[in-house]
Amino acid sequence: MNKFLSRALNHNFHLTKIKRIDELSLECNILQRDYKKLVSMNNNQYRITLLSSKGFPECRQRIIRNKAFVLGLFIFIFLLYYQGLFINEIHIQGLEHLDENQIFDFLAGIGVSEGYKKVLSTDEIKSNLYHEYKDISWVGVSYTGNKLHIEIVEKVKAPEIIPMDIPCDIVAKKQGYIDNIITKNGTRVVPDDVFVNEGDLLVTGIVKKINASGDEEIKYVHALGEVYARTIYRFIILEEKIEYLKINTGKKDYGWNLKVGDTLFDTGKIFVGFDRYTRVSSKIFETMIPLPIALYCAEYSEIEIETRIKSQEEIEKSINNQVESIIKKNIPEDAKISNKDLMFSELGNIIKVEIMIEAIEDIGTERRIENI
Amino acid sequence: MAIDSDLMFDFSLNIPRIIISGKYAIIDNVKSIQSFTNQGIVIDTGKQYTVVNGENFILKNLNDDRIFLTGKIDSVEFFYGNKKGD
Repeated sequence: MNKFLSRALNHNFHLTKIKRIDELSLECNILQRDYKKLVSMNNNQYRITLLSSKGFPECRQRIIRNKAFVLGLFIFIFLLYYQGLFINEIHIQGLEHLDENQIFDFLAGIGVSEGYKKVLSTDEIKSNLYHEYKDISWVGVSYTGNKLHIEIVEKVKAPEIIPMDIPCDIVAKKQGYIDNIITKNGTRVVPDDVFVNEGDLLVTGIVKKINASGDEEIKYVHALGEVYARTIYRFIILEEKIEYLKINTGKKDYGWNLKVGDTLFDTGKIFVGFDRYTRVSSKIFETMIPLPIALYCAEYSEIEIETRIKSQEEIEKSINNQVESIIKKNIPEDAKISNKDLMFSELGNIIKVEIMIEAIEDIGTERRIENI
Repeated sequence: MAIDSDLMFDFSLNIPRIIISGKYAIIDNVKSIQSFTNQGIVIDTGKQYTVVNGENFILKNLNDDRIFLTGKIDSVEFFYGNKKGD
């Protein structure tokens, strides 16, 4: 063995990880070219056993031996690349007034739709949207894999400001009982406590005067004033008296979910013996169009449903929170709440709260006088 | 290190040169390996024999008159055998 090592040293064989196994054998790594030389120089002095081989030549041999596997791998890579050329999903955010379906139709018209090839760049999609929809102030388009994200910010229409030299009326922009009208210019046409509908004339810009000769003279002015009215808001809140609690029993089971297109195959429905459970899935892999397949590993946790009757305080707190959020959402900031009525009624397990809010707000808006 | 001793260090071809650091030893000017076991290695460096004793020895690399030895190193001994030039 020692002679073998000295010989390897003298012949410049590149040996690594030399480990003495016993008196007569040792184990080492050797380069393939040195191995061939070693075998040719051996002359039956040593018994050489090839335990394993690694590296590029071995890998090449393995590839040649497993042609079908390599072909399959190439087909898989090609399919992966090919499906990356398609749009799998389009997600539009930020729409307020524009119709989402209309935008989807428009996008399909320019060749951007689910299942279509990615023919247009993000900049081209942007410019098409800007060109088609004049009410868009900003568009953000980005691809995340096969998913197309479109973020739209719509223009906010500024209220029409009528110049002071143009005659106009003040009309009601919503229903309400007139509380007080402060007329700065023009003629008031409705008394207090009268109910007015949207569009009703409140202060007119047509001022009639009797001139010095006793004739009626009509003058058109820009009506100015503040019209305060009591507006009524009605809301209904439903609150459950019983709270349902999901109690985890601690029992768990595992299964697989296979999603092909929109169809989900859940092994949990067959093999998991829990009556009620929650499922947490983690994605193993997902492919896109043309073969939309997704595999998930799912953890099923058994739960028991327990009911608890809410206390009076909890119900009141919850209703108050809901009322506050409704007021914040539906009543203008400049409106002053003058009255708030809450009517409670019980419908079995549900408490129904009818809320009537009376607010005082300025309901006047300017409107041009058309037939001058 | 003075220049002459520095040159002596670099061009001393037939005397042992060992660098030991923890569990690793690099031995230069190796002419032949006289014995190698898990517990020791005897190296002929030309003018001397160098013996490294220890446990679990593995020769990590053997190339160009140099060996790279790993394992628990206990001692290093030098023997002047009956060699030419001694």
